[in-house]
Amino acid sequence: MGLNYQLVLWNKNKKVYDRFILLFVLLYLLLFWGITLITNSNTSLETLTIRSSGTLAILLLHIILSIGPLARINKKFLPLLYNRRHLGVSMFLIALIHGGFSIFQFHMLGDVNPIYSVFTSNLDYSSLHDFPFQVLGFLALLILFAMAATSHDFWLANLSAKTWKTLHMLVYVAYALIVSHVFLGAFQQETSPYMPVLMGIGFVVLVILHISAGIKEVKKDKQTYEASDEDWKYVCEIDEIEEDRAKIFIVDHERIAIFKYENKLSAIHNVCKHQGGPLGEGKIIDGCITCPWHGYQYLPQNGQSPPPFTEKVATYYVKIEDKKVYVLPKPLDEGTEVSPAIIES
Amino acid sequence: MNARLRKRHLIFWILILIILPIIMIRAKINIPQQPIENKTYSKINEQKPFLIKESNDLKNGLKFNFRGENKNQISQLEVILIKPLKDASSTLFELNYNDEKGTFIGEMNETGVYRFPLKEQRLYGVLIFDEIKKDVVIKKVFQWD
Repeated sequence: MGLNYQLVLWNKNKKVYDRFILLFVLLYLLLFWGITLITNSNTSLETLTIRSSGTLAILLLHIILSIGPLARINKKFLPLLYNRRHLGVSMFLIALIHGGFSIFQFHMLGDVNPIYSVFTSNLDYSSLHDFPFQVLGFLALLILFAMAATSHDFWLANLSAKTWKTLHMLVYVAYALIVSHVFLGAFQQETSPYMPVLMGIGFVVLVILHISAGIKEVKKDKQTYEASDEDWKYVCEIDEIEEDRAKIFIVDHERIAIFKYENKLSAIHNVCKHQGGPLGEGKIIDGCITCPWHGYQYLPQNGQSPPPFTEKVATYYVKIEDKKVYVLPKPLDEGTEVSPAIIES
Repeated sequence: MNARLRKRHLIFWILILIILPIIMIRAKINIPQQPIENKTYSKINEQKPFLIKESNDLKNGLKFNFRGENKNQISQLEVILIKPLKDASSTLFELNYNDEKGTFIGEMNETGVYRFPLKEQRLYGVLIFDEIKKDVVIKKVFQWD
């Protein structure tokens, strides 16, 4: 969370993470260039740049798309999720180098505008072998540009969380365009089976990760109850909730996080106002519920972000009877103060 | 994530799961195959029959050697690529008598010696074609006595 506008939201952790990104990028490029020049010393500088940046961008995109489901499956991956935004922008810059050099190499020497040439030099959309694959890459690059340009809380606040999230879910469209771009383009000339096989493995891994994470979420969603004004719903035994952690309870397919802290229980809506992070998978830090995705904070008793921040989520009534936790699953207005249930020893 | 977003993720991944494998498989199986008689298979690639004619294009870093052996009915075009071609995708085609792209002969990547089997011992010419840019890189007509 930050109050003032900063071009890049860096903190100590993000700086360390960004150094790792830079190191990885440099190492990959050095290895790619080194191996290529050793095995084929006559490769031109343009071809080396196009191939190394293209393969690196695809590798980074696979890593980026893996982080979300990995963090759902195992909480150890949450720090990667917290820092994913910088990796996304880095990937876009590398993809831009690939796209820029490709347009320069293949379209710059003609007598028409190179961007116009990308769209008009080949119009054979009926052929798979001669498909205008560069158009697919260009469209993917436009999506990645829109995402990178709006990868800032400034845009999240101004576009609204719903629009912002919709825009950023276009990453899946970009992924589909990029896979098609590669298979209908470079792989039409590729004689070795290794690269198509590697790309296929990447696709399978992504599908397995996303479906596994989805199945895990579906299992949680199945423990659902209808919301009601009167019926208290049993959640769990008090001892089942760890100190400063939460138990997630599902009503009408929406999740409620019931936090235990300082011998008290409070319940809030599970979805963070920032980017929809799962608050119930976070913990209480400095008296505030802290979102595991990007560190947004809320006070447990009223679901409000501490001043001067203004985010707030719905709260719920909680009670304890015979060491059993019950929740009244009708949401109160966002930010409504609710007295915590006291745990008697 | 709320229920709406989870559902949207699910729809995206179902679509990706259906569409992308179709594109990947169709893209690979639709690559035009070389005619079987023109394939650079290893047996003939190892053979180096007698030199019948040589034709150099040193400006472009290319040497063309026509080789053949009547006894075993072998006809071969040996292409020596001395310096790399600038184009990312270079494929070799026969040049027919109308000065147009003819039968596919083979692909060329890095510098080196390429040996391609031919149907006949003589070719009017060859084209090196960039499949990505759809552009003729080099056109070479051979002079036969």
